[in-house]
Amino acid sequence: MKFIRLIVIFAVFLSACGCNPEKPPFSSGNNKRYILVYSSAALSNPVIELASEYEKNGECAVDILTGGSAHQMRAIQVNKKGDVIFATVGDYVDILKTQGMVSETYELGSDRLAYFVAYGNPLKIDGKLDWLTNDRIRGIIGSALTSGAGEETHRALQKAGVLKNVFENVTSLASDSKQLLKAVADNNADIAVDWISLKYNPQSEGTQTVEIDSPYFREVKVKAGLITFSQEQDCAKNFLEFAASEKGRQVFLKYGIEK
Amino acid sequence: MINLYKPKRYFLLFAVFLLFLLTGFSALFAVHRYERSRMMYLKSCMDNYKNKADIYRFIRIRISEVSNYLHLYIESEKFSDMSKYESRIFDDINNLSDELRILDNGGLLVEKLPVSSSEFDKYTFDYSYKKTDNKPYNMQIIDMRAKLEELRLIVRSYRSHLINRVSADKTSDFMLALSSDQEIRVRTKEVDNFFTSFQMISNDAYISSLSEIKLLSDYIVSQGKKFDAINFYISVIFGLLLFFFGVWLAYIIWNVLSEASKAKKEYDDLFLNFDTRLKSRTTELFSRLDDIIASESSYKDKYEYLSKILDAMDCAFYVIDADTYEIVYANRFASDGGNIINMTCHAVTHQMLLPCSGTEHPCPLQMVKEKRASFVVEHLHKQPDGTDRYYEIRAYPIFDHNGNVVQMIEMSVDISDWKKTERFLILQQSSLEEQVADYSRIASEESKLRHSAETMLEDSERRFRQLIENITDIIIVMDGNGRIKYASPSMDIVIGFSSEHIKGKFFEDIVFLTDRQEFSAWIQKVISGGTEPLSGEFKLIKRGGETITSEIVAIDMCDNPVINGIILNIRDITARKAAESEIGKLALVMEQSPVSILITDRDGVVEYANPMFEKVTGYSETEVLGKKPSILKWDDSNPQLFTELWQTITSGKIWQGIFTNKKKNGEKYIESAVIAPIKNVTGEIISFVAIKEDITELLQARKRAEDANIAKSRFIANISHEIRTPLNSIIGFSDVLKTTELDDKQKNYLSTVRSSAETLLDIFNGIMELADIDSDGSSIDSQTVNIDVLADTVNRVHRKSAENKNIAFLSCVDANIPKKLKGDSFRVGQAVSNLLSNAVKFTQADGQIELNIRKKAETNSTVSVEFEVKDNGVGISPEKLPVIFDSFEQGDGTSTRRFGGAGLGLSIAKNILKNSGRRYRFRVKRDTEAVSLLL
Repeated sequence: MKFIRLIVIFAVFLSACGCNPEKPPFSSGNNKRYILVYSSAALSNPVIELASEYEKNGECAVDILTGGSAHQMRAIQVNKKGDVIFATVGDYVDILKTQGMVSETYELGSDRLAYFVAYGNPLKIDGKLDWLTNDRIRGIIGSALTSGAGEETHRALQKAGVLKNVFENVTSLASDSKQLLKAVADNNADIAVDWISLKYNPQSEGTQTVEIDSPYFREVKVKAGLITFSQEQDCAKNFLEFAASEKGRQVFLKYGIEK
Repeated sequence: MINLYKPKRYFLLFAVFLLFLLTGFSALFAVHRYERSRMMYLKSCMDNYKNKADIYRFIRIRISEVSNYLHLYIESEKFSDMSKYESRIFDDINNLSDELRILDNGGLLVEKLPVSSSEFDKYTFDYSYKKTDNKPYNMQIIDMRAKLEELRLIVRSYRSHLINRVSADKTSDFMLALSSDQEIRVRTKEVDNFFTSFQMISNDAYISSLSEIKLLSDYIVSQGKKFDAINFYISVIFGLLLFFFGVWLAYIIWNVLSEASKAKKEYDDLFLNFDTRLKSRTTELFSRLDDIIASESSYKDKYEYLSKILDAMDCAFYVIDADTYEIVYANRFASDGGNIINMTCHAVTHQMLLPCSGTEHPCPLQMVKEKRASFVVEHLHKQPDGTDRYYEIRAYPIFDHNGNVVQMIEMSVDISDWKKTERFLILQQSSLEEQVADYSRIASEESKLRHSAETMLEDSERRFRQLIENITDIIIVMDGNGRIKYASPSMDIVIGFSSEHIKGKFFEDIVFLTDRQEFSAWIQKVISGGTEPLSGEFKLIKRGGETITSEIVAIDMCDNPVINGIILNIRDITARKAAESEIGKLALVMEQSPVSILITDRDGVVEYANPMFEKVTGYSETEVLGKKPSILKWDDSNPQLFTELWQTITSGKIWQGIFTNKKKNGEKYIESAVIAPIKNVTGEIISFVAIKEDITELLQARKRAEDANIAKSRFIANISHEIRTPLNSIIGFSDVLKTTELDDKQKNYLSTVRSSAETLLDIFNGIMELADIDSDGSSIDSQTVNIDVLADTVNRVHRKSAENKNIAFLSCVDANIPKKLKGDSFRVGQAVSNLLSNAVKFTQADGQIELNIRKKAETNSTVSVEFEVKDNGVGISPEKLPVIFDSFEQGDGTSTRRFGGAGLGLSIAKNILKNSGRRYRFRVKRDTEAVSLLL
């Protein structure tokens, strides 16, 4: 009996020595399923929280690409890859749907633009648009090319008839809403026009919001969409449904995306 | 356990040993072969990772290159430069796209580096990258591809504005230059942030690839170490197995021999020790028996000694059985010569058949059993002679080994005499305490009554004194002769005479001369009127000679034995009289006001409407009183307007706005209104006042004027676009045509076409500007003006024209001018540009033009800046100076042909300055050498 046992151990050892030497290093995660989620910068925190909650069921891992909403839309149009998009300006999701790049859309809440100023509002900035054309104030707005906040700001200022003067006065145009917030938080700007929901973002420390007193600044619908190029449709759909569920909406509400 | 007497087992052990040796050598060979193949493969992976990092490095370098080219592109002053940099930017964008494609899907990147000036002499590097992971996407590549697309859009967005700027520089079109400069400046504000973001993504990707290299390098090192360890462990394991095989055999032999030796030793020890142990045990038992006998004798002696002590006591001592209540032991005092052993305790002490009970006579034995502790109680024992005796019973429990109370010791002491004395003393103390309490209560009540009466009296007196001393009215008591007997302290404050000094004086002395006679008659009426109070208004003279108007109320109290005089209550009503007069004036203003005035209460109900209101609306005052102003509301008015109005005025603020209302006859009219809340001294709103003006005709007139202006502007804009566009095309394509192969004749014709188009454009621009300024005269904007930027733009537009004519162009900007000013940069630039355009036009070759910008004056809120355009051209004759600012006029009538132009430049500049009001002024300075136009 003991002899047979020794023979078996010997055979197992020899087979172990003959395993594949060209097995790629770090290949343990290769069999895992991934979904790529595009998220506008203002929604990155709720989307990260939802993703970490969703990953607990072990179905798929979630990769999140953040940036300005307009930039995210362009990334989908150019690359034709990815699974889900979350955009603060829901119009971008609608555009992708009309172009056949998004199959289903979900409305998650609404957001609106506000002034972000240094905490305590030392310059006593109120909601008037004049502050953006005041040459003693260092202003910053978003770029319409890459940022949803930027395009929405441009639209409203254009309607108010002050866009040209604001352009002349602002110090720079930021790529996304996080860059806008950072400019005020780091004291590189006195005033920024950004999404009001970002006041619940940890990066808003050192800033406070002031409501803009102008009828041209509207509420925008926050939307998510299922991208038609998705290679993990079941995971992507499950994740979207989770985000649109009551529990998901509570997470968005926690970060200031109102119903 | 191996049986050493069986030889087959030896053979088996040897076979196992050989098998171990064979396995060990085979394993070492296989591991070495695997290790070599694995390391070769990992090296190829490392090369792949390095190539990937290199491609990311190229991407970073290329992004910086594009950024530099874009800045050069933005600063291009020629079409050829624009074309060169644009093609380089798009080449780089295409290369970046290729590199990203290779990183995404794998492939070969060929990088060629020139090593000499020859186009074919290049060193080629191949970077092969194979995709190794199974992920369908790479987030950084996705991000960078989107950035590339945005970069294409940025470059394209610059193109048209750069073309405009270069064209404007060529045609000296200041307006086009300024607008294209503004557009370029705005776009440039986002370029830096864009490239920072792009660089961050590429840096992140590059650092990730370096991290992968580091990770793989660590992995290779760890694999090497792992293989060394496996070799080592295989050697050690087989060596150890052989060693343990030998050790195991030696252990079996040693174990058998040691077990046998141990068993023999134990048998011998058992046999020898048995007899010795038996003897020792017998001796020990005998010794214990002797000790017990000695102890019993000692106990007997102690018992006799204790019995004697207890018999000597002069109180009863019992030992009582806890279960039966029978006395087990009693001393001589208790038994009193009789035998009470085995009798119950209650039969002996109380002559009762049952044990004691109740709270007054609790049974000591029951209490001791219950409490399991000693207990003291007083008992009343009946004596055989019928008398009662008090005993103090002390009881102590006796426990067995299990802690149960089995017996009780009881001691009884006679305390009858002590009890008698104690009762007597208690009775005496109680009687004394009652007497003392009665005396104290009576004394306290008398003291409280006296104190209360005194306090009430003092309070009453103090209250009345403070009342008299603190009121603002003056209280005077006057005797029947008119002399002052008493005056309150307010006399000093109101009239100026102290109450002490005025005492004994005639009151009539402080009555104003004109009122004295009337006052005397009035006092007589008071005296004859009995106790009825009378009031009157008289002027009094203050100490400094001023007069006040006072209201005096008097009452005759001569019959009152305490007062015995006339009491006068005097109140200063000077301010009230003045206010009544002011109110009268205001009422006249409201009645005669040219605007409608409406006053409502705090609920909006009309309380007053002036005559103008009636004139405008047709409603008389009596018709609107008690109604709300909503009777005037036009049916289609926006209800939100009225909600806002009401919220504004009820919050204490002033509302200003325009209403659409209807008159009594239903006619619609528009009025401008200011509505304000009226507050009392405590800040509470008591009513609202509305001041309204009918502006229907004014609005109609303004609308007519605006409509006419819009129509004019639209016509100018349309005609401007329709003519300028083909003219710019003619000029632009003339330049393009000039770069092709043309003979001299064609070149000559082309030059004529271009110069004619420029002249036409110049004249047309002038006419359009003049029309624009005339139609939009008041539109001087207030924007941020950077003088340096303005100077750069006008310089750039005219410097080239000046250099083409070989004219020196000098420009100087005062460094003391603040960087940011408020003003209309477009209009100022337009005026200066027109002056410079004239200067270039009327200055001949080798001449000189100067643009000097200086700060002239500065206050807290304004800065005066002078723009001087100075040239040494043909000059302006003194007689022409008055007309050079007129349209279609030039300094020299003949020069129209020589220099061209429509004579509109100075006219436009003058109109701009005229429309700016007092903010811009224009003057002409003339000296012997040059003509300066100062703005």
